[in-house]
Amino acid sequence: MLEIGKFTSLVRAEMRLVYAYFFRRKSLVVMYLAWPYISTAFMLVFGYSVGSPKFFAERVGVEAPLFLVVGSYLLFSIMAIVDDIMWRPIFDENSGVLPYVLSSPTSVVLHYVSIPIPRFTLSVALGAAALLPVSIVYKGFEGLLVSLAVIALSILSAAVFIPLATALGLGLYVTGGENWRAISFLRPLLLVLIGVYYPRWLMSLPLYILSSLLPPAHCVEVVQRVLVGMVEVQLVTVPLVLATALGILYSPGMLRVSAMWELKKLREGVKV
Amino acid sequence: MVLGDAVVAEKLVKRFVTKKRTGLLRSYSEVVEALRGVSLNVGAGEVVGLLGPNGAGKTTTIKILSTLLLPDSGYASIYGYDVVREASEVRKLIGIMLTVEKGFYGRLTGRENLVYFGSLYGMERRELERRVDHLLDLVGLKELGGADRLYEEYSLGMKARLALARALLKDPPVLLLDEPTLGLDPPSARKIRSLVREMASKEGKSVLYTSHNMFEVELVCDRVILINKGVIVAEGTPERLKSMLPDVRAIEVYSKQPPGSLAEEVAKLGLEVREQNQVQEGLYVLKILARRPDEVVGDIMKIAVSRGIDIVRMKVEEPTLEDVFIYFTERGVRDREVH
Ligand SMILES: Nc1ncnc2c1ncn2[C@@H]1O[C@H](COP(=O)(O)OP(=O)(O)OP(=O)(O)O)[C@@H](O)[C@H]1O
Ligand SMILES: [Mg+2]
Repeated sequence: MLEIGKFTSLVRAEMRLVYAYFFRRKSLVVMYLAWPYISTAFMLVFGYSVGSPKFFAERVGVEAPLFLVVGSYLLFSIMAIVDDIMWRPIFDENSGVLPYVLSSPTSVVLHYVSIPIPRFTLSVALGAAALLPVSIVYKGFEGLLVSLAVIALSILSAAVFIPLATALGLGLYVTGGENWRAISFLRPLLLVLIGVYYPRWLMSLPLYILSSLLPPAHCVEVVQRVLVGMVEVQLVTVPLVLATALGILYSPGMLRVSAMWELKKLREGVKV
Repeated sequence: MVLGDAVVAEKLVKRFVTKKRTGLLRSYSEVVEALRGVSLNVGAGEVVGLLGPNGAGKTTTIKILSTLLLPDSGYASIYGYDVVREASEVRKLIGIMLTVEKGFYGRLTGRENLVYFGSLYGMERRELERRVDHLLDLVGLKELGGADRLYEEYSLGMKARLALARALLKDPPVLLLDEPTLGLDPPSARKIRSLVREMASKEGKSVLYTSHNMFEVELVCDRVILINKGVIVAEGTPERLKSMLPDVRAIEVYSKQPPGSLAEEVAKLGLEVREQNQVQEGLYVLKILARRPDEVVGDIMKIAVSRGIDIVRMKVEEPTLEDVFIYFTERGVRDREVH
């Protein structure tokens, strides 16, 4: 009980922090709202120049703009997690905050689990504002239901992704020093593997297996099946159970890597 | 309950492995011995200054005591709790300030920053807000109009005050402050110093205060520990440290006429003469070093009269903590050169 109370107050503190950074910079708010559309427009322009939208619809089984807007939204929400978790240690270290964070009684793991929540919540809310109009335009009332399902699934994706993202992010710092470039390498890789723009059922086998290891990939697959209209109970529940199971499976890894990261910091001396 | 020393360090050793870069790709490892067996203690309610030149190991010591750096060997504790094995207990007892110029989120106000760190410290919301408000007042940030301004707009003095406020958030019995007045203007420095003194005398907090400013250490600290190149070279009250200096004093003689002939005669008495003919405010200054100033002042007067030199005033210089500092740190260098 004590832990839960601590955690909620931690999340509240993180929200105040992240929202201060967010709302005190107007351009960021605009970007959040416009992003799914900008990236969709970009991809459509690019897509029409190489192939026809009909071909896309035939092959994937859903209208390109809807597929892309939903995909961009999912990506945006999931990447919010990855970015927050991976950038935060660097940001805290450079702003000299890290010693005070590490010398607080709050555990590293608890802190890192709370870190992505505010921005994720925000991107869900703002993303929904971007998502609802298109899906209603394309699918009417059904579109509303689809959007709500997508939002629910994006929340699940994010939640099950936190353990792996934390383990990967802090793990990179443990093995590769302060090599933030590793992030720019890992990011596009995750982007492809999660299968947001490139449905998993179209992937080659090795890629498919690799992407199966990422919890959000399964949620994304469900979203895409919902869009395509393949909503058999089994096809939906199996991936969701799998995603949750993976999330739990990676949790001990997250605990271990966080401890290693903290130990590494204490050996070198936390930078002030 | 009988409480032991607030802070104890025994034979702390810390080596850093660094890389010397000799080219774009070429480098070799080098070991820096930051601490070579540092032992110290701070009693309950005591303000102890850890004084040393750049690179002496002050920050390293503070970091180890703050549970932010693991020593290679040795032992340190805060009120009996081991800083390595019982770090979580230690963290409840200490307030730390490691720099004045950073360590907060730029886009939060001072108040928001303190609330944020208070939440990390697990403080209850209501109590936290009250405490933050009180501290903003105490450190003078309200008065300066800084409580609700963004941290990135703060002046250095305001940043230092906020950093001290954070150290006091949990009302900890022990404060570990690393150069808390570095770069501050006199009013801000004075504010920080008076708050630290107040914390010790009124609230019984124990303070370890690093600095390389003798003047301020003398003002703030009950006791001073001199550290140089990772070794403690001297320790005691400022008065005691000064009495440890070789008892040579400088006598300054201010005269209306050039004191050349006086200098010659004084030298014949076996006294060392320095800085002849330096002119100050229209007067000539002669500096004479003597072991027992009282006994030679009369002689100097007599010689001056016989040579027709009007002495306007004479001054015997008391040693400063700076002399102590220079004496001990330079002696350290000489010792090392001998090895
Ligand atoms: N992380 C590190 N890696 C390598 N060397 C280090 C590290 N931290 C400190 N040192 C070295 O250890 C020695 C002691 O440093 P420390 O920062 O404790 O000195 P200081 O007394 O605080 O000096 P200053 O007055 O400049 O702050 C220095 O030679 C420094 O270069
Ligand atoms: Mg230092």
